[in-house]
Amino acid sequence: MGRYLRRRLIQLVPLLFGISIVIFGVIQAAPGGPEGSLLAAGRFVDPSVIESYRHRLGVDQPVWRQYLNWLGASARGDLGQSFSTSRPVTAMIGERLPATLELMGAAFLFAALVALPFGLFSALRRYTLADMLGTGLSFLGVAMPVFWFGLLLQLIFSVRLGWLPVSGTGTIGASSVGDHLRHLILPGLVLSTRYIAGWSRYFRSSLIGVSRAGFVRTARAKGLTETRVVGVHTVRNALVPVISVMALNVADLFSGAVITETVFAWPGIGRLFVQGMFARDYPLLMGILLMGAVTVILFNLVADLLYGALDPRIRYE
Amino acid sequence: MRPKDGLALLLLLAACGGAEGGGGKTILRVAYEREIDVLNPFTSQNLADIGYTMIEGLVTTDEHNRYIPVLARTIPTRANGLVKNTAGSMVEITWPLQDSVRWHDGVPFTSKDVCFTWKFVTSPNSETYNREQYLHIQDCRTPDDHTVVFVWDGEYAYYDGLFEAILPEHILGALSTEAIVKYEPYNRGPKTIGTGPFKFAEWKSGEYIRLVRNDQYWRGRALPKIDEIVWAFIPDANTRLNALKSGQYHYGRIQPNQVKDVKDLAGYQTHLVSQNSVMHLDVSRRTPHGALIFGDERVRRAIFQAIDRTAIAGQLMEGTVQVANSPINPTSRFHKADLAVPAVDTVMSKQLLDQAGWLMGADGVRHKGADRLTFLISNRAGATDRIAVAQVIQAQLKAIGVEVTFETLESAAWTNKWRSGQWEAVVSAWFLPADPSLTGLYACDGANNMTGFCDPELDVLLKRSDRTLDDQARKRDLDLAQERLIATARTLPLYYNVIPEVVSTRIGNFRASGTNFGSFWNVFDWTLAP
Amino acid sequence: MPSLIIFGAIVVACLAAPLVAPHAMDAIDLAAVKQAPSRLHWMGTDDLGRDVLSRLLFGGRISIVIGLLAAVAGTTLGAVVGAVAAFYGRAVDNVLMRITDVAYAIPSLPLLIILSAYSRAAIVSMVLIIGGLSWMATARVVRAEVLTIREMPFVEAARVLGAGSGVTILRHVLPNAMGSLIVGATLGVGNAILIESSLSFLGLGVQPPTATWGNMLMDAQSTMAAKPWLTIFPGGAILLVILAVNFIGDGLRDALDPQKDPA
Repeated sequence: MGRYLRRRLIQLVPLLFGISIVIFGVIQAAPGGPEGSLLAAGRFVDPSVIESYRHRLGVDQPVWRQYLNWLGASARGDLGQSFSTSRPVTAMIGERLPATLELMGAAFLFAALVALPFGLFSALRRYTLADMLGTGLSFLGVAMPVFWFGLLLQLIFSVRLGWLPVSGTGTIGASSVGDHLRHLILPGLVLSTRYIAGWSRYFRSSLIGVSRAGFVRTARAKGLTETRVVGVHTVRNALVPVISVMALNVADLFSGAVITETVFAWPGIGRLFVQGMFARDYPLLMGILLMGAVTVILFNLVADLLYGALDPRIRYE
Repeated sequence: MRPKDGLALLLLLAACGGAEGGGGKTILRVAYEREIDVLNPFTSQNLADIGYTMIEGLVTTDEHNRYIPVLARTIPTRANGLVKNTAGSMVEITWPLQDSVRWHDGVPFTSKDVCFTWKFVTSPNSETYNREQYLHIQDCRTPDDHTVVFVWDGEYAYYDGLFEAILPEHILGALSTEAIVKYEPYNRGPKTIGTGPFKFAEWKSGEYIRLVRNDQYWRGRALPKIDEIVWAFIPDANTRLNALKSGQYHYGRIQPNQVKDVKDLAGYQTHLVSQNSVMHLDVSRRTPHGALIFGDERVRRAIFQAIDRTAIAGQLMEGTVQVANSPINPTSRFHKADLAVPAVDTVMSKQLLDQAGWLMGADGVRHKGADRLTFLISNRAGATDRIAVAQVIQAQLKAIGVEVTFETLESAAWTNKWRSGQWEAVVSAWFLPADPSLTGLYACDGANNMTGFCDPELDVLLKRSDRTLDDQARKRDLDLAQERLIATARTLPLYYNVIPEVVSTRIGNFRASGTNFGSFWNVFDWTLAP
Repeated sequence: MPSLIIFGAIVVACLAAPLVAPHAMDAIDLAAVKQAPSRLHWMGTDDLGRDVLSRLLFGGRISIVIGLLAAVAGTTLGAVVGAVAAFYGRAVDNVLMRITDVAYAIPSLPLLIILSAYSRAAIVSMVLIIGGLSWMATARVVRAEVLTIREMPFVEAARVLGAGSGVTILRHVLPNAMGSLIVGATLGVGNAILIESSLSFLGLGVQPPTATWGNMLMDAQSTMAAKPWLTIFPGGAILLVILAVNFIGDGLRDALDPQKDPA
């Protein structure tokens, strides 16, 4: 296990190097530069001001030097300063991360509460009308463009019915835990639909697979009640792959919520990225992508380790 | 636990919190269309309303688009004797300042702060968008704490519209210009101070900025009449509309095509605020193909005369805007009202094109030798109103044998292309200050003239109008300049831009303004009924 | 099966758009903007007075073409990378899989947003971008399958009989991996259509006057409450197609599952 982990960690070095080149290259080569943000508000800006801005940001330097500067600094944990706010990128990401984490948390919780029971149900009652209807319903969430679904929910639950707030994380100046949760419901619900269909289908097929396995037949033969067979042996074993899929989905942290956050004015990473994109805030964009990539890698590792920890048949060497 | 129980529990928990509240304070809630970058009014690209609510300048603009004094007691003019021509064709302008003004931290505001602001803006790396305008000021003198004198290098028409904000010397004076630009305590609070009716309280990244009442406000202790302003950042236009319709906010800007949707919204009134901005079709002769087509005035005239602007304003924009005949908005005193832009006349258009040698081809597009009469409109991705206008233009020009093609570029890429001048046509609009200068846009060497057009006669008019303090003479020159722009078919004004502002009827004393200062210019006077 | 019929019907209707559409896709009529459905315009008209039904049919061509091509591009690339890596092993495998890791690790929607700034928002670039970012999972699956199959006796036999390695991959290995490829590609179609609509939401999708379901849906958002038909039709079309595609994928997975139980 220890040796396996060490090998995986060593492999990270060339991987991160490759990622850094791709990220830097893609962002730098995008047409238009950070000076575009000076004119984005639609007012005229003196050309000399544009030159002075570019010079301060260092985007008038040779590309290879910009890359080496960035690589050197980020290797030491310094992602540089944002072009548009002059603040450290790490601080800006740090401010936004909790909101995204919370939104993802709510979505995961909700998705798990719906997907797991339903997966179990549809595995037990497979090919019944209820199974198909439920499957259709869970696909519905995947099939609706997120922004449309989100705005539709706003129209129904906020504008028409007045039950829930439209956007933000709380009523500013009058926030409380309850108020905050009310704000979390719609975006959490919208984001959770991304996962419900996948998880329930995965759990369903995993349950079916496990129920055919030898040890379940043994348990049945031993005369254990059907509830115990399904409840203890099958479910526990079938959860293993589902949990590792969930761990993989945590890696969506930096990208999964871009649209949801924009629609619900949720102050998370996704919106920060979109904002940085239109301003060509290179350090901010590279920082978010780099941290996103690291998250993906780490949770892949976690998923693999979880798989091993939960399934006694797998051993790492 | 069944999933339904989970939802019920969540709803139950949620029901415990109330939406109203705030401990008896009156809180003005604004659904704001963008998140701002920094709080320094000179280096921010998009601060506007939030900044002017905290940080005052020498002047602002009122609902009639006129400059009115704020930190200045009066605006200097020749008539009141505060503008004097001196030796060497210099001009001395004396600004008397309000004498009981204090910064939010209690330090008195003085003429030294004004000169400090001048020094900051004019230093090379201040990154102030209109720095070059300030460079005409040669010196700043402070005869006493409440008088400031600027020595100008000559007559300059915009002298009364500068200094839209004043920086605190006691906070920033010890720093270099470069350090101020990056100084986080001022850029983001808590050291962001001004002299305005509201003080900085809190900035939650991506979410909101909260300002609280300045109890020591110089206009009197009774002002402002609102305790707090919260600016919630809601960048998506549809979400903002929903937020307004659900009654969570008192003020918000929407898009013209959303106006019908809020027409009957109880408790709100929608103001169509005319901006200092004109939607227009610009053509460029910088590329060889552009020069071939648009170099010929007859072709420009033919194209412009085939575009039905009345239909664009009335149908496409649903009557929210007025057809434009001038590049200067009607709210400006320099607007020329009786300009005659030729009416739609496709027969005339076809004749003009025939005369110019562009003859109808078998493919429905006009030709001249091997060249086809086709041009490319560069659209900015996501600018839905402009793209819609461009599509109407495309359809209408097809009728006279002119082919229009599109390319769509993402925002920053579009800006890059526009600045390079390597485009053929754009549908575009700029937001000009309260005192519109056409010089940068239309003079031969104008910093923002990317079209390759150069009209020496127009140059004389524009440049003369910039360097005079004689209002009458200036008006005369600008009238002639507007006439000439239309007569030479240099650009086609389409409509005067409006931004609809949805305002709660609980707000009192709201007086909309569409200048760069915006509608919050008199927020100290606003009331918010319970 | 009903999914297949629905999907097929929509595809056929859209492909036949020039024949069946009642109006031209770009026939602007400013005298008749945002009209409710009527006998003349079955699905009403949009903000430029264009016929929504006609745009829906023409837009569907673009959306479905983007979906199909992106799915095919992504699947093909993934299959080739996965198969080559597994078959040649060693250095080739190592290099290809590290490239896959890099591509897999960078968050894809943000990367898409950046890449869309490059494109002139045209269909071809949209296909390349979406396809170019959705091959990694296929590559891994195919590699794993090929690794298993490579050791099987019939492949061994083919090699002994003198078949070249490329031929061996094509003739024996790929058909065996076909099941998962088809499922992946089917789901890829829906995914690509959704991605295009997400990019449209950010103003970065295919741009007017070319219609796609994504940009039609986005353009109509601002009048969703007042003029619901402008959103219901393109939104409903996306919904139907993606539902159908998912059911087809699901059905295929069950059908191709070698362990399928008789129940």
